[in-house]
Amino acid sequence: MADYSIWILEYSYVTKYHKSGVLYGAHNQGYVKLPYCYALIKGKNHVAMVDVGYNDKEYGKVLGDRFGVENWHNPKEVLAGVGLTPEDVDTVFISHAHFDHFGNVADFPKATFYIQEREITKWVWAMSLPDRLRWMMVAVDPGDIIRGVDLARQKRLVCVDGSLENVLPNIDLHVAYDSHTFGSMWVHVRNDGKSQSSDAWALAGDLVYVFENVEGPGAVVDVDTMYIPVGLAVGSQENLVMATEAMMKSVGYEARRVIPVHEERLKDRFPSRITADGLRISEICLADGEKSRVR
Amino acid sequence: MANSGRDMLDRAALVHRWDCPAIAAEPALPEPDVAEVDAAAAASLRRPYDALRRLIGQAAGLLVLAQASQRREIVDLPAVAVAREQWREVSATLGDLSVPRGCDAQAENLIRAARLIGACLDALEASANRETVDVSLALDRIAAAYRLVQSSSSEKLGMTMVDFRQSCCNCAPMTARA
Repeated sequence: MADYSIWILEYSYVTKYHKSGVLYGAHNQGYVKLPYCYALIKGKNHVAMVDVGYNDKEYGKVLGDRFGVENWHNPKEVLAGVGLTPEDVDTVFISHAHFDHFGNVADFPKATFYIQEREITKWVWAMSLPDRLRWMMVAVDPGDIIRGVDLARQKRLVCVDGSLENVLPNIDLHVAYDSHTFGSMWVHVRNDGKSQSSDAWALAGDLVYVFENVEGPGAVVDVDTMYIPVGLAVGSQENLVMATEAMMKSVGYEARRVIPVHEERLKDRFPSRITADGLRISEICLADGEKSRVR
Repeated sequence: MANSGRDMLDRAALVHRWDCPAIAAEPALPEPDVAEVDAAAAASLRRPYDALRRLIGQAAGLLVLAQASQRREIVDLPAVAVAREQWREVSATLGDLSVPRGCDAQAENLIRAARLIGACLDALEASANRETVDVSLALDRIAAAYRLVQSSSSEKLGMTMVDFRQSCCNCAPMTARA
């Protein structure tokens, strides 16, 4: 029995991203493709998303010209790939406030958004620091926070303080403080409805970028695999590793159930297809009675 | 610009909703001719630009917390006093600014944005005196300030609203150079 279907929907990508950004210590090891994606969860009369991407209207040209972000498509086009519209989305979990995750709330007019309170409070703090500490202020668009104010005014923004069980039926939110960002959040879907689930999925946000963050080469310490933290983080590697441990524990240490949205090789692990727009849809799991969107 | 025109612009930014079509399309100013702006002069504009960008982020975060939590004590947080102090500093900097040649419009926008940020902080504090916290007025002001600062952005002068160096696409300039 499975209550929810989960798809990872690509909306854009960077073709050449330095590998050391996704994998701590992978210096001078070349580049990897970095897909920009969001996760869609459908079931129990809900359509939920993890993150919403960024708004091309605001920063598309900047990104396209300066950073090589390619093939951006709006949520209406992307969600059509699984037969849905942005208006169908009732809930959005924001894993963290970086522009490519929190940068397009306006395209989801009926959704209630969840974000960790710490993500906001420490952003306020970081923005008040002197220039010499500005490394901690990056990748967040103040405009996205302003749109967050408007969501709050409409009672469509919930600031979560720590973990929250059953935010939707059998879906839990968990926080990893001072890791990739100050209050990064991951989403735990217990698809059999049990508190000790044997069919659980962890949607990792940017706490995990690629498979090697969970199953990295461990020969150097004489083990098959070990956790290797992501390369980009304002918090500590310790907190990233311990967040990986928490996610792995939540899925019974079955690594394939920790889903990194920036991982291009999801297509090799899960049924996937490329849309007419040249973007990938990966089908992580299907609810009972739900038809495949990739076959 | 005549004073009456300037007053009208300030009034428009203060009384319209932040997404009002009448002011929604704050036109991006043309890139200043950097050849006519020496490096030191450009830096003198970049500093208040960056301070305002960060103040907007601070204020917006405080508004989120106040509105979402409905906790009036948000206005008593040290972060509010810090924002006030930094707003006073940047306002003083702008008051003493020797505007780089060719950057008059940018400087004018930054001055207007600073006024709006001050007005936003006033509105935030006032919102705590009501039965329920409603930051709508403060939101209007900070959103207008954002648009003004954004419209003054200049790649050439290093004035951009988002610092992408830690972002998921920060390698592309390096690969482009390779």
